[in-house]
Amino acid sequence: MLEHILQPDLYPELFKDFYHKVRINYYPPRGDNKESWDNIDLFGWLGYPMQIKLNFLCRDSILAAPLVLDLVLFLDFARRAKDLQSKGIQEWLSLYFKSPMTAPGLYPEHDLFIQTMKLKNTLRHIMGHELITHLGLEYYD
Amino acid sequence: MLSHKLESTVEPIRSSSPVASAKGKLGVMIPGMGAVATATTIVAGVEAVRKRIALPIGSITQMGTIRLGKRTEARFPRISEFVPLVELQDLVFTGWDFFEDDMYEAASKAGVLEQSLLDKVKPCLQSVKPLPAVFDQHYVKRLNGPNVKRTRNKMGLAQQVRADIFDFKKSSGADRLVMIWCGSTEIFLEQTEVHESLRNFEVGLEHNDENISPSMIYAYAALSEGVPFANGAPNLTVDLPVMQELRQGLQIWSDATEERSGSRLEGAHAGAAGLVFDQHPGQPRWRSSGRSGILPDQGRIKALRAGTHSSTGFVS
Repeated sequence: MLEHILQPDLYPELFKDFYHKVRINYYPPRGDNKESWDNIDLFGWLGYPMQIKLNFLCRDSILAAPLVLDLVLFLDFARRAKDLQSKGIQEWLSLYFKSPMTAPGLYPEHDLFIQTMKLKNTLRHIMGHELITHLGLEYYD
Repeated sequence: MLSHKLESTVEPIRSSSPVASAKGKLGVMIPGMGAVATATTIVAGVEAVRKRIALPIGSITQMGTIRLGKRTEARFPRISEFVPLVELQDLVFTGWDFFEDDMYEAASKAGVLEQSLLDKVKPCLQSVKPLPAVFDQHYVKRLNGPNVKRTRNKMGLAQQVRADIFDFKKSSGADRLVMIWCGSTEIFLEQTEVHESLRNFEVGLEHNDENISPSMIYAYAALSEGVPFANGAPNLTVDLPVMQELRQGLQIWSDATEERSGSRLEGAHAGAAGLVFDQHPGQPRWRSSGRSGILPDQGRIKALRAGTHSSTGFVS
């Protein structure tokens, strides 16, 4: 999945040697609550190193429940929508998935902003509304 | 009183609707409905929202808005007002689990939601009792429980799940169904020959092929019954040619893989798929999966559908 997010083929100078290390420990006292410590080593202008550290105290089911609810409702919507039921893969729901399936030969879009736009524009399209591209030049005419 | 409804700002678009009505009940079928806390958290949450004692925060369908028109128009209806989605009032739930606890007991043990909240939605949770699960410890090493299906082979298990689907639709009065896997993540499996075609898969079911996991059996049963299926865990389930082939004649939609949630930050591996389909026997369109590269075999599907008692009741 990281290959698709970082695209090392497009940006070899940046991501050719990316390294990803995950360690998950089961810690019963916390039950469903999880804690993550993420560290991202990155480099910026002229290769100068920086770090992002994230400490997330989260609740698995609390995070998952709204996604499952949305998927249930949107799947039911898709089966009722003429233009979606015939489309095969529902890539417009990729916002909800870590590794979205796509049409053969395509790579998945992992960018959250693109995925969100895709979802909303799909809804606009299905309902016969104009798509919003965020071009916005018309405001300056 | 909590309320998150906005004034509707959506005008009717067309007389011939692009989307069929959402009226009627939607049955939600969840493999893994108790042991993993997600399912009970959803059902308890939906009931709490229905009773207006909590807000469905995090749900785009319930609280998200969508901009329409230009930025100067200030039109931001709720998504739920913009597209016809089933109302939460019309959701009915069931599920499978290898424990016998009803959802109230399961949620109480899970300890995710406070007991005081669970008690407010107790009748709803108590009404959902797990169907015996397709379960095999080979695929989830640390788990075990008594409420499991026992039959001659994996094909028998699949037929029992199909019967469950049929029975639930009847008993719940649901007009439509959706299945979403919320069980524990299964062991890592790779695509093998048995997944390459429906024919291979069914032979594999008869011969208890160990590359066929419980989640695949559920997906096979759901898709065979015309029930959209999504996968909420990263196990290999629907991203397989056999599942693509099952959509045939029918239309299949698929989407993949473990929902985004905390586990994403934990770095859990992704790799599963979710897949949905709809059945419109009259529609000839077929999307090649690019994997099987085979055009669907209508006759075979019909034979399959006629082969179990539950098949015909589900044509939507």
